[in-house]
This record gives sequence, C-alpha cells and structure tokens, in this order.
Amino acid sequence: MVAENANAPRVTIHGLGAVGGRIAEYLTRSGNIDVVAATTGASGADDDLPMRTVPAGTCVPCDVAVLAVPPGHHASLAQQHLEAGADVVSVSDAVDDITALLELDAAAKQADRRLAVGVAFSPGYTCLLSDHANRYFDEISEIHVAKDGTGGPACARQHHAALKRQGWQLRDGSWLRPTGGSGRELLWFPGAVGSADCYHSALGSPLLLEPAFADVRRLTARVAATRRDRFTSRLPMLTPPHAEGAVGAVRVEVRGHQAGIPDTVVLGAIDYPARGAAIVATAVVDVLLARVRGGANGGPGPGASGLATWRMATTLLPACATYGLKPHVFEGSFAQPAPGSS
Amino acid sequence: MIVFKMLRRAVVALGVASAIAGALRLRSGGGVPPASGGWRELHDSELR
Repeated sequence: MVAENANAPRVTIHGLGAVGGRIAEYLTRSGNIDVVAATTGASGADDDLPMRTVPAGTCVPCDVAVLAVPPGHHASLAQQHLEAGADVVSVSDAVDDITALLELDAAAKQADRRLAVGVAFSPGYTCLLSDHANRYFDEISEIHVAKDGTGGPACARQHHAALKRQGWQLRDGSWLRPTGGSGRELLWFPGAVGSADCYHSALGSPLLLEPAFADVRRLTARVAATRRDRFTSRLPMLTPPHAEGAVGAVRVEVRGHQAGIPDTVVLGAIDYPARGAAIVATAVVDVLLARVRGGANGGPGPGASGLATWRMATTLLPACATYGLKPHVFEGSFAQPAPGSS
Repeated sequence: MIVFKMLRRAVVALGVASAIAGALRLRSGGGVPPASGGWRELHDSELR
C-alpha cells in the first residue's frame, strides 16, 4: 500500500540491495516521505514497504536521489538528477566513483544542489568522526582512517578489487600511491571486532578529507584484510560473496595540537557496514529534506563534497545515534577522559 | 701486575654498571599493568 501525499517530499532510491533496502525501510518508516525505488534486481527490502518501484536507471523527478547501486554508475545518475533539480546522495566508496562525483562540483553549484559524496560507513561515518575530532584540537596534522568488514555483495567485490589497487596517501602536501596490500599496521577497533592487520588499499577517504582539513599533513586509509584476502586479491573472486558480511567497524585516529601540546584522539564505531552506511545515508537525506521543507537553517552549501566538508557532525552524529549507530572513543589504558569531555 | 690491573678494571666496570642500573631502577617506577580503559561510547552531550 503506497501512501499518496501530494505535499510529501519525494526520495528516489536507486538500488535496493543491502544498503538501499535499509534506506528504504528507514525512510518509509517516517510515513511522510514519498519513496520511489528504481530497481529490477533482487531486493534487500521488505516487499510490503509502502513505496513505488520503477525500472532500474529511471530518473524519477524527486527532491533527493539516493544512489545505492553497485560502483560504476553513480556519476551519470548523479548528473541526471542534478540537472533535474534534485539533491543527490551517493553511497559508493569506490575511488573512481568518488573522483567522478567530485568533478560534478561545478554542475552541482550551477544547479544550486548538493551532491553528497561517499556517504557510507567508510567513507561517510569516518568523515563525520574526523569532523567531530576537530573540536579536540587547535590544529589537526594527521588523520588515519581504517575499516574492517564488508556489506552486501557489491561491497565485497569492491573490497576485493580495492585491495589490489594503489591507495591514496597524503604526506606533506603531496599525494603518494602506496601499493595495495602494503603498509601493514595492527589496529584496534571497537567492540568484538578487536584487533586486525590493516593495509593500504584503493580507498576514497583521503580524497574526501583533504578538502575539509586545510592544515592536515598526513592522510592515510587502510582496510583490514587476512592473508587469504591479500593472496587472492589479484585473482577473480573464488567464491560468490555472501548476501551480507559480518559485523564490521571503523576507526579514525586524529593527531594534532591543543594549546601547543601534541595529542591523539581515536574514534570508532561498530556495526554491520551495510547498516552503518544506510544509517548515515538516511541521516543525510533527513538533513536535505529538512532544507526542502524549509525548516533548516544553514546546512551544506551547493556543490559536491564529502561529509567532513559539511561541518555538520553535531547534527548528523546524533541523528545516526537515534538509528543505533553510536560513536566510540578510545580512552587509553588508564581510562583518562577524552579531551573535552566532562 | 697485569692480573691486578685487569681485576681492578673489572671491579670499576662492575661498579659503573651497578651505578647505572641503580639509577635506572630508581627513575623508572615500574608500575602496575593497565587493567582498565579501552573503548567508551560517546554520550549524546559529547556529540553536540
């Protein structure tokens, strides 16, 4: 049963996989959004959700378009929706998609629309954590992002492909391209995920964080991988990926200075990566719809950017928390309070 | 004579080593291995 409300803002969701299906569930739950799903494949959403479906790739006129299709199709869909006057949210974490979407910045500004790039668990939530960490420092010099786990099958394929490709690493203003699978570092994630060896990989977080932190000197991004992951990364996937991966986690290690004293803050989160991505995307859609309804003050300006550039962690992190995705801080071995906490 | 000279040097070397070890022992407190800390969920008030 589809609720017909002429005044309800419309959101088009491209792709109903592990991420898109959850976004559809969250948005339809509110009851005052006209949700249209553009999909023909297997659906990750309940069949009885109150929404209409149209063939995949159809750009229905809408207020906000969510792109949750597999990597490779995001830029063309985003351009169509921007030209049609919609704000766009892309959940792709593929570097090729992210660079292509950032190149639509001029088109988004010309259309006076917002194109949110890399709105997932990492990047996406890690961009929000980096923005949140900004409050602990006078100056941020280093940001190191890491993630563990995969979402749906498309995410697993992207993880597999990314591990064999060169990563992006900023060092003293210059971009380096470390070999995929190199740079092993043992990192600790929140909760049951615990420790994992993490490696350079083709991850888009540095590309999205660099414009948001003008003074940063070092940016890295690593992904947790096993020996088997690294060994088979240069081969085709030997077995079909699972419908959805296990619980994953993200962490952001931020280094900088507070009152002249060097300090480090480590923030993280634990969740199913597809669920985490869907929560972040839903929170971003809520912010964009608030603008459509005319109730938002400020908010992101027109253009294509990552969430750290929006400087809206104080809005988006609590919004994500209401859906169950909560940030954690690593307090060290002697339980010293986090900087700035009461 | 040579034997006495070697013994004297050995005694001096042991004395210097003992003095350094003693100084390091006094400077480092040792302490108790950490038994708390780790990850903590941020409260709503810390997010705004």
